[in-house]
Amino acid sequence: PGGGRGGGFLGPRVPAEVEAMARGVQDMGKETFRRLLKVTVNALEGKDCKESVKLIADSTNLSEEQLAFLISGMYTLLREALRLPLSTFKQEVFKEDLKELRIPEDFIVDFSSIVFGNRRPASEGTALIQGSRLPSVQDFKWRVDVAISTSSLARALQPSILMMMKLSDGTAHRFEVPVAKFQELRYNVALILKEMNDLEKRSILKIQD
Amino acid sequence: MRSLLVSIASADMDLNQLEAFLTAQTKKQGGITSDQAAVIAKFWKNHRIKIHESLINQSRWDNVLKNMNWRVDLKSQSRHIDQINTPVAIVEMELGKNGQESEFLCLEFDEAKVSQMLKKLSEIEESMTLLTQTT
Repeated sequence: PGGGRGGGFLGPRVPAEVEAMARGVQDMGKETFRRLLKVTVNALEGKDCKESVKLIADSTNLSEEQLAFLISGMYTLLREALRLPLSTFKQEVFKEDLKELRIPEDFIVDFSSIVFGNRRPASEGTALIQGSRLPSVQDFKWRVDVAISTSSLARALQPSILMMMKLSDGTAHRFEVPVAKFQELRYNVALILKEMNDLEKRSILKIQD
Repeated sequence: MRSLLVSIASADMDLNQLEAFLTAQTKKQGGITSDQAAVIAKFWKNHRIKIHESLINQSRWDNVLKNMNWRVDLKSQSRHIDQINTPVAIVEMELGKNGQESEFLCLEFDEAKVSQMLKKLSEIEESMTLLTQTT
């Protein structure tokens, strides 16, 4: 009777992309599977995978759509498995769950070596998977522009700041900051730093108590 | 009348320039009366900053930082012991174009990152001070 698995590590309802992936890998070659798995692990570690996905797309007969559900299914499966603490999550349970999804035995071994073996993503990667972190700024570039003249102003002479932030989630954001807003931003960042310093002083005091 | 205001706004006239400009207009044939000139002068005095700001905005096409909110958290419990009691700043930045829905950027900073950011902002500040001093 449908379901009846209740309480697998994926929860009571298996995510659609995982089911689609499980169907998709049934008659897949081992080499292709391993390449997809590698890409997925890289994605979990926050690396840019566009190029490697493109390479796979070019060298296999998988359509873009098939690739999308295969990778997103693997991604969800691993993300859910990696967020569970190793102390309580047992390898046999994991393998049993994958068997129920009808994932071929060989591939179960591969999945398992990532979750429980030495291929487990680096801690920075797992932190991302845990979803307990917001992106942080990895690169910050700026430029101060002075508009000399515009279509509506013969004499603008107005400085403005252009900022570019690259984030740890791989996205980049470019935006302009008017001078007044810039002062506000600087003031607030200084305030945050002071607040953090104060907090740390306070927690040191607490430990000394 | 409209073209007068466009000229005044486009040149962002200060009060001396305004007075000279309006006087010339009253003396011109088919120009304005001195009462009209007084009204325009008063209007410009009251709204110069706002109008200038709005004209500047007309030539802004990028996303603009509209607002920011922040909060400092202290992690009290975590899977990794070393993260406990380290403060974390959560910063939300509202980026948007005029008349379009804003995008909210939510970022996390540890103390080192905040301090790094402040240093960069000070660099920007310095470069702007330099700019206003030399011009």
